[in-house]
Amino acid sequence: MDRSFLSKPVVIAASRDFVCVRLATYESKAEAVFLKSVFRARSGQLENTVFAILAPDGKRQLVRSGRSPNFAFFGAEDVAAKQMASTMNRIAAQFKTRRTNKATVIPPLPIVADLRLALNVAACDNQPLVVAYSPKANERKLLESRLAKLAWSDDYIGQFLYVSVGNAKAFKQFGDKFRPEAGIYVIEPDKFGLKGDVAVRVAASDDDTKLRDGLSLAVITHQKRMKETFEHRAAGRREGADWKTKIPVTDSHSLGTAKKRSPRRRSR
Amino acid sequence: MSQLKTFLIPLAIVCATALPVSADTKKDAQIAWFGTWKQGLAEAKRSGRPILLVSAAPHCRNVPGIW
Repeated sequence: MDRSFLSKPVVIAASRDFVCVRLATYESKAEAVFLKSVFRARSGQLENTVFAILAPDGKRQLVRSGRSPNFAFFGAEDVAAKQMASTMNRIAAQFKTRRTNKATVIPPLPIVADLRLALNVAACDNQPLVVAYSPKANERKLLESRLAKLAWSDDYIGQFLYVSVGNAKAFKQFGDKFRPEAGIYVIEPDKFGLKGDVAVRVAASDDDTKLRDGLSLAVITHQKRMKETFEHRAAGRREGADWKTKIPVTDSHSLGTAKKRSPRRRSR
Repeated sequence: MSQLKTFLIPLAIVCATALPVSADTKKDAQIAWFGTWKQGLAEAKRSGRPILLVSAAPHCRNVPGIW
């Protein structure tokens, strides 16, 4: 997918009036079934990327769905991104008039499905990962609620990925000696998202000021890593970085089995 | 070098507590994504907001860490 659209400031600004859902393809059977219902490629299979803008019912499509925003918004990159943002603003305005006061309630903490996937996604996004951990469900829910208030605030929105963890075994990627304690961890993923370093730790008993200070420190100290696809892939192969998807990959381009189109014959 | 680190880390913490997140750090803010369809759909139905849906594989030929 041409991800350049999604990092354009006009699109990011327009996204604030949407519920933005980004799924990891091939990581959930149920989500794969749903994605195929949104867009089925010519191959008939679920391909790596899907793009759609939907009504709040999750069914009605509001623009042409496809593999990327290019399916609905055409032209040179900046022109198409402006078109996308303009369309999103128009759609958001239509739904704003229908909304009740419920829209002003703080949304829940936007979490990734599990720690293993979240670490990988944070590496892909070049963002720190905030982990809310407690083996006690009530305590974990409270941590999520405290984090949600910050996650959706102007200071921190779109700056972190989040995940909620209830089982200490999920931290196995951090080594056998790592013993998590209830609270918040801000993790800097390594370049492959297979390991990470703890950048900030806030105990569950610490107050909201300490939590806020912890996130601020993480934002200030985070260093973005520039990545280039071919180089990253080559480095991954050399270093044995290998990702196992939860369900089989069915995109022929990813599998390297895409057929080359034969050149068109000129008619005489 | 370790003495320098001993000085710098507390200084960073003091600076972070003294200063709010600045406009310069906010420039790195990206789209705020829900990571599961179940959670995103529930929020869309609750709030009445439309949905921007994207799906991508977080690996390239099985090398993770890149879309």
